[in-house]
Amino acid sequence: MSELTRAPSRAWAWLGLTLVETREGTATVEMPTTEDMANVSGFVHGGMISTLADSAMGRSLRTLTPGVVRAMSFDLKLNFISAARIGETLRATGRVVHAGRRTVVTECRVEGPDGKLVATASGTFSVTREKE
Amino acid sequence: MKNVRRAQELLSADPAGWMETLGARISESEPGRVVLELEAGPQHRHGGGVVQGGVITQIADAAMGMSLATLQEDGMWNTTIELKINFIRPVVSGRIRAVGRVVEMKQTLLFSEADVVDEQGRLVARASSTCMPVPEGQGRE
Repeated sequence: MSELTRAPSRAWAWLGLTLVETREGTATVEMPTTEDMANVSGFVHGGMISTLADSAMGRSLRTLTPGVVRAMSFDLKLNFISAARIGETLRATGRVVHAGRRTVVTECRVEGPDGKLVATASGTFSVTREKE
Repeated sequence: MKNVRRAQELLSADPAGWMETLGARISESEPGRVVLELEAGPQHRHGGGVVQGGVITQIADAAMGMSLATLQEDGMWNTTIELKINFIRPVVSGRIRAVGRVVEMKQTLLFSEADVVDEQGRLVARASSTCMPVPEGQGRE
């Protein structure tokens, strides 16, 4: 399997997360939404969207040089802007805002079909980086 | 709704209240984007010798709130109900700018972001906020 399609973790595989694109400092991850992800109102549960955003931001910092060998989120914040319907595929683009030696600050946009803004997020990661 | 006149009024108003106290001014204003700037000096620093985070948060919050106001109708303003900031790089002196921009305007919630940059254009802080529309001029804006 290629680098792009292989799920990096069991959680990714379980939720159906796929990496669709990476560039320097960015990563785009998609999540098809299913009935199992519905909240009481019948829309996509915010926790699912949070997981997607966290994953996209976490993946984006893996594109840095010098490389990141270990990363842990220690702060995650979301704004839920529009409801997402079950069945829509959500696309999250994580982007590195600041890459330090020990911490990395990232942000993310989660979009639905036709680029509808579903959520914005920011995350801070504690990292260990390769030596220059 | 672009409130062009309000954006222009922000730009021409003299600093008053907290802005005067802090030494902040509005340097750019257009619908959806407002820039506040501040000449950082000893009066803005804490014991560690760098500009205190609350000062940076203050201009970021104001730039965000004002950018939202430039897309609101006359008679309405907004108040911050939630704000988050990442401090990325310390600042000691020089002109710091908070660039506020609108992310999304909803009926009851308004979303905005701000980048705070130093004189060299380096990112000092990144903030986001959620605001709520309120009637203007009732001591709540």
